[in-house]
Amino acid sequence: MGYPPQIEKLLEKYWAAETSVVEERELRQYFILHPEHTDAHTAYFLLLQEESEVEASIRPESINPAILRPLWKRVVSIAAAIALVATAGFLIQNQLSQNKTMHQSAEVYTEQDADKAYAQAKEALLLVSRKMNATQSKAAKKIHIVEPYTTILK
Amino acid sequence: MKKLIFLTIAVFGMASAYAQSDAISKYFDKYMEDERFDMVYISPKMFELFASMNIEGEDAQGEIMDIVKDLKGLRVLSFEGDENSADEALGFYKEAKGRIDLDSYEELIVARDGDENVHIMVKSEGDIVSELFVLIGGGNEFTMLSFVGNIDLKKVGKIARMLDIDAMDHLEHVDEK
Repeated sequence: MGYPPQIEKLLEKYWAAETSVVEERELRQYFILHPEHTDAHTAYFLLLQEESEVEASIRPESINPAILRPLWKRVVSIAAAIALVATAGFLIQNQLSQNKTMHQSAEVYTEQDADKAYAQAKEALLLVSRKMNATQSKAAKKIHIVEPYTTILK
Repeated sequence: MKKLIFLTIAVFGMASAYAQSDAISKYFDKYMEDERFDMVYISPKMFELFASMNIEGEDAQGEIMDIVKDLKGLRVLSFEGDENSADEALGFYKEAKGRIDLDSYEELIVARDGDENVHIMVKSEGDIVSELFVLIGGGNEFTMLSFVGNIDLKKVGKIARMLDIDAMDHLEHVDEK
Protein backbone atom coordinates (compact mmCIF):
# COMPACT_ATOMS: atom_id res chain seq x y z
CA MET A 1 0.00 0.00 0.00
CA GLY A 2 1.55 3.29 -1.16
CA TYR A 3 1.67 6.62 0.61
CA PRO A 4 0.07 9.84 -0.59
CA PRO A 5 2.49 11.93 -2.72
CA GLN A 6 2.92 14.56 -0.02
CA ILE A 7 4.01 11.89 2.50
CA GLU A 8 6.31 10.29 -0.06
CA LYS A 9 7.99 13.66 -0.52
CA LEU A 10 8.30 14.22 3.21
CA LEU A 11 9.80 10.73 3.64
CA GLU A 12 12.40 11.48 1.01
CA LYS A 13 13.25 14.77 2.73
CA TYR A 14 13.29 13.03 6.12
CA TRP A 15 15.84 10.39 5.08
CA ALA A 16 17.91 13.15 3.45
CA ALA A 17 17.81 14.90 6.86
CA GLU A 18 16.19 17.98 5.38
CA THR A 19 12.84 18.04 7.22
CA SER A 20 11.84 20.70 9.70
CA VAL A 21 10.46 19.92 13.17
CA VAL A 22 6.93 20.68 11.92
CA GLU A 23 7.36 18.31 8.98
CA GLU A 24 8.66 15.52 11.23
CA ARG A 25 5.65 16.00 13.50
CA GLU A 26 3.39 15.81 10.41
CA LEU A 27 4.97 12.51 9.43
CA ARG A 28 4.49 11.05 12.91
CA GLN A 29 0.87 12.21 12.98
CA TYR A 30 0.24 10.55 9.63
CA PHE A 31 1.54 7.17 10.73
CA ILE A 32 -0.43 7.38 14.01
CA LEU A 33 -3.64 8.13 12.13
CA HIS A 34 -2.96 5.45 9.48
CA PRO A 35 -2.00 2.28 11.30
CA GLU A 36 -3.13 0.22 8.27
CA HIS A 37 0.43 0.57 6.93
CA THR A 38 2.38 -2.31 8.36
CA ASP A 39 5.77 -1.53 6.95
CA ALA A 40 9.02 -0.43 8.55
CA HIS A 41 8.15 3.28 8.22
CA THR A 42 5.05 2.87 10.36
CA ALA A 43 6.93 0.90 13.02
CA TYR A 44 9.72 3.46 13.06
CA PHE A 45 7.52 6.56 13.42
CA LEU A 46 5.27 4.92 16.01
CA LEU A 47 8.38 4.11 18.05
CA LEU A 48 9.54 7.73 17.79
CA GLN A 49 6.13 8.90 18.97
CA GLU A 50 6.19 6.53 21.94
CA GLU A 51 9.67 7.70 22.96
CA SER A 52 8.67 11.35 22.76
CA GLU A 53 5.65 10.57 24.99
CA VAL A 54 7.90 8.87 27.55
CA GLU A 55 10.29 11.85 27.52
CA ALA A 56 7.39 14.24 27.99
CA SER A 57 6.08 12.30 30.95
CA ILE A 58 9.33 12.65 32.93
CA ARG A 59 9.74 16.41 32.46
CA PRO A 60 9.79 18.17 35.88
CA GLU A 61 6.75 20.32 35.08
CA SER A 62 4.74 17.20 34.28
CA ILE A 63 5.41 15.64 37.72
CA ASN A 64 2.28 15.71 39.80
CA PRO A 65 2.89 17.71 43.04
CA ALA A 66 0.58 15.28 44.82
CA ILE A 67 3.18 12.54 44.20
CA LEU A 68 6.03 14.73 45.44
CA ARG A 69 4.32 15.83 48.68
CA PRO A 70 4.43 12.49 50.48
CA LEU A 71 8.16 12.33 49.79
CA TRP A 72 8.63 15.79 51.32
CA LYS A 73 6.51 14.77 54.28
CA ARG A 74 8.55 11.63 54.78
CA VAL A 75 11.84 13.58 54.75
CA VAL A 76 10.53 16.13 57.29
CA SER A 77 9.08 13.36 59.50
CA ILE A 78 12.40 11.52 59.53
CA ALA A 79 14.26 14.77 60.32
CA ALA A 80 11.79 15.60 63.11
CA ALA A 81 12.10 12.09 64.56
CA ILE A 82 15.91 12.34 64.54
CA ALA A 83 15.72 15.79 66.18
CA LEU A 84 13.31 14.44 68.81
CA VAL A 85 15.49 11.45 69.66
CA ALA A 86 18.61 13.65 69.75
CA THR A 87 16.90 16.21 72.03
CA ALA A 88 15.55 13.52 74.35
CA GLY A 89 18.98 11.87 74.47
CA PHE A 90 20.65 15.19 75.23
CA LEU A 91 18.16 15.98 78.01
CA ILE A 92 18.48 12.57 79.64
CA GLN A 93 22.28 12.61 79.44
CA ASN A 94 22.42 16.12 80.84
CA GLN A 95 20.05 15.26 83.68
CA LEU A 96 22.07 12.16 84.53
CA SER A 97 25.36 14.03 84.54
CA GLN A 98 23.80 16.82 86.60
CA ASN A 99 22.51 14.37 89.20
CA LYS A 100 25.88 12.67 89.20
CA THR A 101 27.81 15.89 89.86
CA MET A 102 25.28 16.91 92.49
CA HIS A 103 25.74 13.61 94.29
CA GLN A 104 29.50 13.65 93.92
CA SER A 105 30.29 17.20 94.91
CA ALA A 106 27.48 18.54 97.04
CA GLU A 107 26.89 17.84 100.65
CA VAL A 108 25.17 14.49 100.17
CA TYR A 109 23.88 12.51 103.10
CA THR A 110 23.72 8.83 103.78
CA GLU A 111 20.93 7.33 105.86
CA GLN A 112 23.01 7.86 109.02
CA ASP A 113 23.16 11.55 108.28
CA ALA A 114 19.37 11.89 108.15
CA ASP A 115 19.29 13.91 111.36
CA LYS A 116 21.86 16.35 110.04
CA ALA A 117 20.03 16.67 106.70
CA TYR A 118 16.73 17.20 108.51
CA ALA A 119 18.35 19.98 110.54
CA GLN A 120 19.58 21.61 107.30
CA ALA A 121 16.11 21.38 105.73
CA LYS A 122 14.57 22.81 108.89
CA GLU A 123 17.07 25.65 108.96
CA ALA A 124 16.33 26.51 105.32
CA LEU A 125 12.59 26.40 105.98
CA LEU A 126 12.98 28.64 109.00
CA LEU A 127 15.04 31.13 107.02
CA VAL A 128 12.26 31.39 104.41
CA SER A 129 9.57 31.52 107.09
CA ARG A 130 11.38 34.31 108.98
CA LYS A 131 11.87 36.33 105.79
CA MET A 132 8.17 35.91 104.92
CA ASN A 133 7.10 37.03 108.39
CA ALA A 134 9.58 39.91 108.52
CA THR A 135 8.37 41.40 105.25
CA GLN A 136 4.72 40.85 106.20
CA SER A 137 5.08 42.59 109.57
CA LYS A 138 7.02 45.41 107.92
CA ALA A 139 4.24 45.84 105.35
CA ALA A 140 1.66 45.78 108.15
CA LYS A 141 3.55 48.58 109.98
CA LYS A 142 3.62 50.68 106.80
CA ILE A 143 -0.13 50.21 106.35
CA HIS A 144 -0.60 51.28 109.96
CA ILE A 145 1.33 54.52 109.24
CA VAL A 146 -0.59 55.22 106.01
CA GLU A 147 -4.03 54.38 107.44
CA PRO A 148 -4.78 57.77 109.18
CA TYR A 149 -4.04 59.61 105.92
CA THR A 150 -6.35 57.36 103.92
CA THR A 151 -9.21 58.15 106.34
CA ILE A 152 -8.47 61.91 105.96
CA LEU A 153 -8.50 61.59 102.16
CA LYS A 154 -11.89 59.89 102.27
CA MET B 1 1.16 17.06 59.62
CA LYS B 2 -0.82 17.72 62.82
CA LYS B 3 1.18 15.01 64.60
CA LEU B 4 4.37 16.69 63.46
CA ILE B 5 3.24 20.09 64.80
CA PHE B 6 2.28 18.59 68.19
CA LEU B 7 5.57 16.73 68.32
CA THR B 8 7.55 19.88 67.56
CA ILE B 9 5.62 21.88 70.19
CA ALA B 10 6.23 19.10 72.74
CA VAL B 11 9.96 19.04 72.01
CA PHE B 12 10.27 22.82 72.24
CA GLY B 13 8.16 22.85 75.43
CA MET B 14 10.39 20.22 76.98
CA ALA B 15 13.51 22.05 75.88
CA SER B 16 12.41 25.42 77.29
CA ALA B 17 11.29 23.89 80.61
CA TYR B 18 14.56 22.06 80.81
CA ALA B 19 16.54 25.17 79.89
CA GLN B 20 14.96 27.00 82.83
CA SER B 21 15.62 24.32 85.44
CA ASP B 22 19.04 23.94 83.93
CA ALA B 23 19.82 27.63 84.49
CA ILE B 24 19.39 27.12 88.25
CA SER B 25 21.38 23.88 88.17
CA LYS B 26 24.17 25.51 86.20
CA TYR B 27 24.37 28.31 88.74
CA PHE B 28 24.59 25.78 91.57
CA ASP B 29 27.10 23.72 89.58
CA LYS B 30 29.27 26.77 88.89
CA TYR B 31 29.87 27.49 92.57
CA MET B 32 29.66 23.92 93.83
CA GLU B 33 33.45 23.55 94.08
CA ASP B 34 33.99 27.12 95.23
CA GLU B 35 35.11 27.08 98.86
CA ARG B 36 33.72 30.53 99.52
CA PHE B 37 30.24 29.00 99.22
CA ASP B 38 28.34 26.66 101.50
CA MET B 39 26.39 24.18 99.47
CA VAL B 40 23.61 21.83 100.53
CA TYR B 41 21.76 19.35 98.38
CA ILE B 42 19.14 17.09 99.93
CA SER B 43 17.93 14.43 97.56
CA PRO B 44 14.37 13.10 97.14
CA LYS B 45 15.56 9.84 98.71
CA MET B 46 16.59 11.67 101.86
CA PHE B 47 13.23 13.42 102.05
CA GLU B 48 11.60 9.98 101.87
CA LEU B 49 13.72 8.96 104.88
CA PHE B 50 12.57 11.99 106.86
CA ALA B 51 9.00 10.71 106.67
CA SER B 52 10.00 7.59 108.59
CA MET B 53 11.92 9.53 111.26
CA ASN B 54 10.57 9.90 114.78
CA ILE B 55 10.68 13.61 115.44
CA GLU B 56 9.83 14.74 118.93
CA GLY B 57 9.91 18.21 120.34
CA GLU B 58 7.96 21.44 120.41
CA ASP B 59 4.62 21.90 118.59
CA ALA B 60 6.40 23.57 115.66
CA GLN B 61 8.33 20.35 115.02
CA GLY B 62 5.13 18.60 114.00
CA GLU B 63 4.34 21.43 111.62
CA ILE B 64 7.85 21.30 110.15
CA MET B 65 7.52 17.56 109.63
CA ASP B 66 4.21 18.15 107.88
CA ILE B 67 5.97 20.42 105.38
CA VAL B 68 9.07 18.27 105.02
CA LYS B 69 7.21 15.05 104.22
CA ASP B 70 5.78 16.67 101.08
CA LEU B 71 9.15 17.97 99.86
CA LYS B 72 11.14 16.27 97.12
CA GLY B 73 14.41 18.20 97.09
CA LEU B 74 16.36 21.11 98.48
CA ARG B 75 19.36 23.00 97.17
CA VAL B 76 21.03 25.79 99.09
CA LEU B 77 23.94 27.91 97.99
CA SER B 78 25.15 30.56 100.39
CA PHE B 79 28.03 32.97 100.63
CA GLU B 80 29.06 34.87 103.72
CA GLY B 81 32.04 37.15 103.31
CA ASP B 82 33.78 39.60 105.57
CA GLU B 83 32.99 43.32 105.84
CA ASN B 84 34.90 43.96 102.59
CA SER B 85 32.84 41.46 100.59
CA ALA B 86 29.75 43.61 99.99
CA ASP B 87 30.54 44.12 96.28
CA GLU B 88 31.29 40.45 95.82
CA ALA B 89 28.00 39.41 97.48
CA LEU B 90 26.05 41.93 95.41
CA GLY B 91 27.78 40.60 92.28
CA PHE B 92 26.63 37.03 93.05
CA TYR B 93 23.10 38.28 93.67
CA LYS B 94 23.01 40.22 90.40
CA GLU B 95 24.52 37.31 88.47
CA ALA B 96 21.85 34.94 89.80
CA LYS B 97 19.09 37.41 88.94
CA GLY B 98 20.45 37.82 85.43
CA ARG B 99 21.06 34.17 84.76
CA ILE B 100 17.78 32.78 86.00
CA ASP B 101 14.60 33.57 84.10
CA LEU B 102 12.62 35.04 86.96
CA ASP B 103 9.65 35.62 84.64
CA SER B 104 8.90 31.90 84.83
CA TYR B 105 8.17 32.31 88.56
CA GLU B 106 5.36 34.12 90.30
CA GLU B 107 6.69 36.71 92.70
CA LEU B 108 5.52 36.13 96.23
CA ILE B 109 7.61 38.69 98.09
CA VAL B 110 10.09 41.25 96.79
CA ALA B 111 11.50 43.35 99.60
CA ARG B 112 14.47 45.51 100.46
CA ASP B 113 15.44 45.85 104.08
CA GLY B 114 18.37 48.25 104.35
CA ASP B 115 20.93 46.86 101.97
CA GLU B 116 19.35 43.40 101.89
CA ASN B 117 17.24 42.34 98.92
CA VAL B 118 14.80 39.47 99.33
CA HIS B 119 13.04 37.73 96.44
CA ILE B 120 10.68 34.90 97.30
CA MET B 121 9.19 33.30 94.21
CA VAL B 122 7.03 30.30 93.50
CA LYS B 123 6.26 28.03 90.62
CA SER B 124 2.73 26.70 90.91
CA GLU B 125 0.43 24.36 89.04
CA GLY B 126 -3.10 25.40 89.93
CA ASP B 127 -3.26 25.70 93.73
CA ILE B 128 -0.22 23.52 94.28
CA VAL B 129 3.13 25.24 94.77
CA SER B 130 5.73 22.98 93.19
CA GLU B 131 8.82 25.12 93.76
CA LEU B 132 9.77 27.76 96.28
CA PHE B 133 12.75 29.74 95.10
CA VAL B 134 14.47 32.31 97.31
CA LEU B 135 17.20 34.80 96.50
CA ILE B 136 18.67 36.90 99.30
CA GLY B 137 21.48 39.33 98.65
CA GLY B 138 22.91 42.24 100.54
CA GLY B 139 25.49 43.32 103.05
CA ASN B 140 28.21 40.74 102.68
CA GLU B 141 25.86 37.77 102.20
CA PHE B 142 24.21 35.98 99.35
CA THR B 143 21.81 33.02 99.62
CA MET B 144 19.97 31.13 96.95
CA LEU B 145 17.70 28.24 97.82
CA SER B 146 15.20 26.14 96.02
CA PHE B 147 12.63 23.79 97.56
CA VAL B 148 10.90 21.37 95.22
CA GLY B 149 7.83 19.34 96.06
CA ASN B 150 4.32 20.05 97.22
CA ILE B 151 4.72 23.18 99.33
CA ASP B 152 2.13 24.63 101.68
CA LEU B 153 3.03 28.32 101.96
CA LYS B 154 0.70 28.93 104.90
CA LYS B 155 2.50 26.30 106.93
CA VAL B 156 5.91 27.66 105.89
CA GLY B 157 4.89 31.12 107.09
CA LYS B 158 3.55 29.69 110.35
CA ILE B 159 6.59 27.74 111.57
CA ALA B 160 8.77 30.77 112.41
CA ARG B 161 5.94 32.28 114.47
CA MET B 162 5.34 28.94 116.22
CA LEU B 163 9.03 28.46 116.99
CA ASP B 164 9.29 32.01 118.32
CA ILE B 165 6.29 31.34 120.62
CA ASP B 166 7.85 28.02 121.70
CA ALA B 167 11.08 29.86 122.50
CA MET B 168 9.19 32.50 124.51
CA ASP B 169 7.36 29.77 126.50
CA HIS B 170 10.66 28.06 127.16
CA LEU B 171 12.14 31.33 128.47
CA GLU B 172 9.11 31.89 130.71
CA HIS B 173 9.56 28.40 132.21
CA VAL B 174 13.25 29.12 132.78
CA ASP B 175 12.31 32.35 134.59
CA GLU B 176 9.79 30.48 136.77
CA LYS B 177 12.51 28.03 137.80
